[in-house]
Amino acid sequence: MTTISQIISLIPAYLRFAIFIGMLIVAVSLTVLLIALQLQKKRSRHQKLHKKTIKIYRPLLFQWLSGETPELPKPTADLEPYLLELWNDLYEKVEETERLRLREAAKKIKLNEIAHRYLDGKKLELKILAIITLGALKDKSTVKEMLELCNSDRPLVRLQAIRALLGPAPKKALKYIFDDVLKNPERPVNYYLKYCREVDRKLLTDYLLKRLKQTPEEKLAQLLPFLEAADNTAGADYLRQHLQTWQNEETLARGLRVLRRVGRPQDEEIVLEFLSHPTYFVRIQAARVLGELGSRQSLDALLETLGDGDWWVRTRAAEALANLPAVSMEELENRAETLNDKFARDALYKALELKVKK
Amino acid sequence: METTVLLVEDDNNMRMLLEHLLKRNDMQVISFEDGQSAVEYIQTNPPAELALLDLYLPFKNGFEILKELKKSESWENIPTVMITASDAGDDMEKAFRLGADDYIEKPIDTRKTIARINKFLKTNS
Repeated sequence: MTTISQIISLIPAYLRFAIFIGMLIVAVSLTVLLIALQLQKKRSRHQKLHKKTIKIYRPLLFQWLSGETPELPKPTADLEPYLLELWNDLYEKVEETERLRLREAAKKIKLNEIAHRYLDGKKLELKILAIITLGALKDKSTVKEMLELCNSDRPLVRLQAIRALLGPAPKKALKYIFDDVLKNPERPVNYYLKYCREVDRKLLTDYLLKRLKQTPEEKLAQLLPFLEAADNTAGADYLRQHLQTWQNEETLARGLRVLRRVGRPQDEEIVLEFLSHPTYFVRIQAARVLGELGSRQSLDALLETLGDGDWWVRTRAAEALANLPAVSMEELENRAETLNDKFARDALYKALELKVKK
Repeated sequence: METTVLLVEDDNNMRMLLEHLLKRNDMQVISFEDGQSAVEYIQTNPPAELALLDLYLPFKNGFEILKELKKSESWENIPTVMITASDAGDDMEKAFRLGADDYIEKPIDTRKTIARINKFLKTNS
């Protein structure tokens, strides 16, 4: 009896190889097809559930937003993630009065319990959605869990947990933010700054001023940007009191940078003296502040700074001159013509040209 | 007769929310989710009483729709309110230069939104 191996041995080697490759291609194609079908099935289920949630809950939540209180049906387990998504999306789109109404609606369907269930889940997307929801609900019972999540290895989880903590426990969240910023000066503060803008301004200002007082001068640069989210008057007052006493250059430069956003025209005089500071990046920041807050009083000092040995300082001084609201373009052009220093003249012409283009 | 508002907003939930608000205030809404469809509508239809435009839209943005409105003889004078993010200072400056009349900021305050829209509709009626 001829066995299969005997038949195979009759087939030439090249043909055996071709058959093997052919079978491999068929197997790979079938696997890819199966995966694609699975994905398609998953996607269409996702779309179906998403549409169903929208159809049931969106009109009802709109009614809640308008001040009505229609009955909200308890969601089935498969609709829960989609409801969390919809509720959060609407929450982000409206102001505080309407947010209050959405929180009321959330109480009716026990959205906090739903979010809690997803907090320990494995899916990152759902975990984050749960954290955001609990933060929006300002649920005090989650403070301990949020504090733990603030130390998560996953940066997204950590950031969202800090933000979520700002609602129910703002002081704890601020403490965490400022500790983190001081410990990790290389981390960008933009996210934290954005979150701090969501906190009650007085609470943030009081807490920040307290922390600034406790922080050594060489580390202040990390905390100063948060003055932008605090009460402007308090922030500017703090900078006015301290700018002339600081020795640390990083702190000084950062302080001037913040003053550009929170300062007033009366700060011009304090800033003018920093145009002659020995460190170039302090001079750069001083020129930039004068571009925002300066008056005619800054004109001569900035023209003089056009002769600075550092290219960046000259450029920033020229931009500041072009920005001075009290000085016309014509006057600046006339002054540029009288400058003997070729570099100074070029820097000013270039800044004026840029302003015209803008 | 109901007042007609042209609404162009690409975010589904936001568009539906604004539609809901406008309809609750007895307004008829013609809504689009992209700039190109809105421009085509403007070119071939009689004007609405007010246009509510998001700044960033697919295909043609709010500025381009605004330019189209100002080019059209019949739509030229209808009040235009832009929908913007809260930090869109420069964009709003540009929109005002192009002829926008007002703006509402996201996240929206529903009562203020309706009050602003009504202000223009009363002025124009």
